[in-house]
Amino acid sequence: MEENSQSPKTTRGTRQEQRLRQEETAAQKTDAIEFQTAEELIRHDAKSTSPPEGLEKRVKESVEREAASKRRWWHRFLGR
Amino acid sequence: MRTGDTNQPAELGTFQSTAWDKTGFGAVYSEHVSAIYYLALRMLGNPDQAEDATHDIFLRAFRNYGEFRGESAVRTWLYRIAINHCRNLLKSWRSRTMVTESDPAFWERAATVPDTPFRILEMKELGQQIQRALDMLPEEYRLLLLLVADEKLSYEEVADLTGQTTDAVRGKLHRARKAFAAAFASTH
Repeated sequence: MEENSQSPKTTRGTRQEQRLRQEETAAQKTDAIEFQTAEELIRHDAKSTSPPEGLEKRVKESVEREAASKRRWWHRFLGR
Repeated sequence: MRTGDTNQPAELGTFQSTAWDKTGFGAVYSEHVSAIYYLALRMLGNPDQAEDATHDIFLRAFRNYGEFRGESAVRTWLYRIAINHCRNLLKSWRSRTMVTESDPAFWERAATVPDTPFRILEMKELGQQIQRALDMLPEEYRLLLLLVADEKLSYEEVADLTGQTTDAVRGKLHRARKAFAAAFASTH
């Protein structure tokens, strides 16, 4: 009895799962991107890769420190 | 090609502007950082190490900026510094396992991979997949693919950076593509 009463539900559930799988496959087919060569694929990856946010500040600070130490050297050299 | 030509006054002490802006180095950084960071990332395979390496590459470039004569494009000059830096790091680490030309099975398989397009369904882990594939390649192929992928570099510039003729670049590129395709397929 129990088995019979669950049967329609199971069938409906299976159909829904099948439909979902079909939809997923269709979506995947639509979303797939093709790259003709390795360079194209790498180029796409490069475009979607950004340098870390804090990097510019780090480099800028180091550059300023470097420039300041050069300036100090020039000042000592020129006797200012 | 060089951006800004006023580094001398800044070095002598123009007090209002920072060296970053005054020398034009800030503009050089902004224009090329993405390319240099990406090369370091895929050469070294680790985001933290790539960040440190990119910092060191630009600092080294700044130190030599006054001597840059513009005989090559700024990008090529930066790439040269980056390649040397990454090679030195890799040499000193010697900790990463890579498949080399001495693995005959891998290269036999690579040579037979047909030239079919890469069909990507899942973009989320694409970067990691590309990294794994690049890690499997000999350094020469990896570098070649990374440089050729940069549309701003000509084949002549790639040849110059890798120390070979343009014909050799074209020949090796064909083999590098095959090797990458085999390596990429094995990462699925």
